[in-house]
Amino acid sequence: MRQFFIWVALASSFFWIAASKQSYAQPEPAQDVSALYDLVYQIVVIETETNNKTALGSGFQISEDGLVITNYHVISNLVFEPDHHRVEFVAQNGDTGSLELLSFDVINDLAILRREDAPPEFFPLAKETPKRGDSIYAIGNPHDIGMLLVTGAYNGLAESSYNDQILYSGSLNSGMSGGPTVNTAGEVVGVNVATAGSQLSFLVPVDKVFDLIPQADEPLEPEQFLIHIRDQVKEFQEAYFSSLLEADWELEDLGDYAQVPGEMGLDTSCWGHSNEDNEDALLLNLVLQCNNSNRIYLQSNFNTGVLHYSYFFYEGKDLSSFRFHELVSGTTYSPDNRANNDEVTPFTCEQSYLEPSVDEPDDNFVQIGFCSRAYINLEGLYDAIFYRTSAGQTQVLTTHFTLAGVDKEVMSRFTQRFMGEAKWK
Amino acid sequence: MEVVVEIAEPGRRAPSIKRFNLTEIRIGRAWDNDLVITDAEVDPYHVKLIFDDLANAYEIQDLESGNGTRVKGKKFGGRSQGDFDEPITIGQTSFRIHRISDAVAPAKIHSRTEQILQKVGQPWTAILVAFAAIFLIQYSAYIGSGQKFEWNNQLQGFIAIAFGLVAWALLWGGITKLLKHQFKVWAHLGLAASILILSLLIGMIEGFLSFNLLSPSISELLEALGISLLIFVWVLLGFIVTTVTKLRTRVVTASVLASLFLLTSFLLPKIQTQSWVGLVPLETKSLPPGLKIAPSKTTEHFLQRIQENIEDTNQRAITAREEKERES
Repeated sequence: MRQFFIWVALASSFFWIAASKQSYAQPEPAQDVSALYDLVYQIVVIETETNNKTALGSGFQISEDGLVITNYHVISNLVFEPDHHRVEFVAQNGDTGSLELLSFDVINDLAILRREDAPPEFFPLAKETPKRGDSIYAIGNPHDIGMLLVTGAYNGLAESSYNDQILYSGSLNSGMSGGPTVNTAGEVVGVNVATAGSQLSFLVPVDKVFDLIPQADEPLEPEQFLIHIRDQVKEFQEAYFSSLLEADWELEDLGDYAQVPGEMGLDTSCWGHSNEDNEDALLLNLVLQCNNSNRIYLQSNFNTGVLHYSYFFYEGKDLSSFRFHELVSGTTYSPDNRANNDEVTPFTCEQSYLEPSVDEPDDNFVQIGFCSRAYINLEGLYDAIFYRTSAGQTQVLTTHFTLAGVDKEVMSRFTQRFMGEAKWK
Repeated sequence: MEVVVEIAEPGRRAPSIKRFNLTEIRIGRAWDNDLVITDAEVDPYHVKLIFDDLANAYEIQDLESGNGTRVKGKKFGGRSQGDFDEPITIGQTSFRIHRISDAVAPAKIHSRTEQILQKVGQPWTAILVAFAAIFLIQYSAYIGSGQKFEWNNQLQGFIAIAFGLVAWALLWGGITKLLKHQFKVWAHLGLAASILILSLLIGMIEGFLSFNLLSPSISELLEALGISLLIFVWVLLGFIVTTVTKLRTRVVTASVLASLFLLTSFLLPKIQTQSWVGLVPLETKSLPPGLKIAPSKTTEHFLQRIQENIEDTNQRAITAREEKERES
């Protein structure tokens, strides 16, 4: 009964949109919305040994021959352990069956699968980008409780993101991942992917689906899955860091004491903090923390791609030099991405004293540290942690970064460039 | 009657002497005896000496002891007339009673440590050392801070540390009592305070030395070494004030305990750290200019080291991959 009301409400809203557009646009083709529901699948990843589900999401058919799109993160368990998992779909009419993983795009969080003996109905993909403010409808099965349609608006692409993502003002919920978001004509404009809470969600633009479709012609073998991830991350990071390293890094003031590279690119954002107002503080503390938004999901508890860098300036107030350094010592640094023990090696670290650079006071006491760990299953990718501390009598400037999922070359090039950028005033 | 008791305990090279001015001296292993003997073969209340000032004589009364009392090698029960300067033996320990007027050869205390400890074990010395330790802890927090040390702000901390020290001394004293040794609370209080001062000094030295960052493990090693040294000293001195065990046994036991600590605290966690991905041994050690002792590297040299570091990491990954393959 409740579904009936939703249908009625939905149908009438579609009708209203169609009617309101009639005066200035071509009439929209009549849509049977209930057909839309039927074409959205619940995607279930099953652990073969226990026959229990380990992940749930949504997916939808995009071709007559049964190509199905969902998010990579819905089926990531299958990618990492293909021998222990299988993927199934549950259709609205009760049909269930298995799906074959053909390929995936780990950067844009998409996967393409095939359903055998698929019905002829499918979601057409939109060829045109909606206008900002257009209503679009996200469909999916949140929390395993039933198919749901969410109304929201298309707001263009998210700013300050290196990867294109549609900014959607609608509430996506867990489980709707991988479901389609359609325009009033019922054409897919994006794939549900993430939410940032109250009415703020993200969609993968449909052109990323277009890019993925040709890969379905050359399905990946399970043993190629991890190599495919590695290649995609590597290619993405190479392109990203090439542009970052070619760019001029504008220097920002860190109080009156130092100049440091602030936002290196459009997608990095920096946040500042200072305790100058706190008169009781023993240390003056200026902090600038920056990071990009390239967090690439690989598996639960395993992500990569993020670049984080920060600057700390400390000055002692009425402290002896020894006491000041005692307080400043002991800062520890850890990675900004998460990885399971069996996915990465332990960190190998290197620490040393360094001669001060030309920009620094001659008698400054410079200390430097670098750690790296390698990805065991994604050969050729590494994480890195770096810090450089330059200490005067009662002043310290520390620069720090972490890299995730980069190759050797990016790691050394970035380190070399970053080391020489911060300057004392 | 004022007498001097010369006590020869097993495991001690020279006898110790004690002076009494009592009409009765009760001797035994229990802490409330007038003369406490830490000999396992001695009863808690073993024997009583009763003095008669007028007769200038004394009587030995065996308190129904298990192993009996021997005078001049002869065992007896009940009461017997005592002879001055003749050995009385209970368990493994023998003692002689000397009149104060008689010339008594001063007993030599053989070890300097024991001399110091005997002093530390005296109530006033113990209290003094404890005060010194508490003051040092509190004052060291102010060194170089730019803030003034004010006595009236210190009371709470002072009471807390003093309470801790006394509790520690009572605990140790109680343990040694359970081990059927003497209950020397003062000795333990003095000892605890001395060790506290020593640990502060070790901490300072460790702080100075561990800023060689070429290997972060060096500071861990130094820390573990410092604590092992403390354990060694603690156990060694603890033995001296509480037991009559031979010096060699004390040294060996203290060494074994300290080495065990070193093994478990330094080597074992090291193995865990290696496999714990979340923990990064990257920690800054800031120092004012002029205090640096390690040589500096050029930037080029460090970049070279980074290349080698990446190569090391890569080797680790290769080994991990090979292991995984072997397992599957």
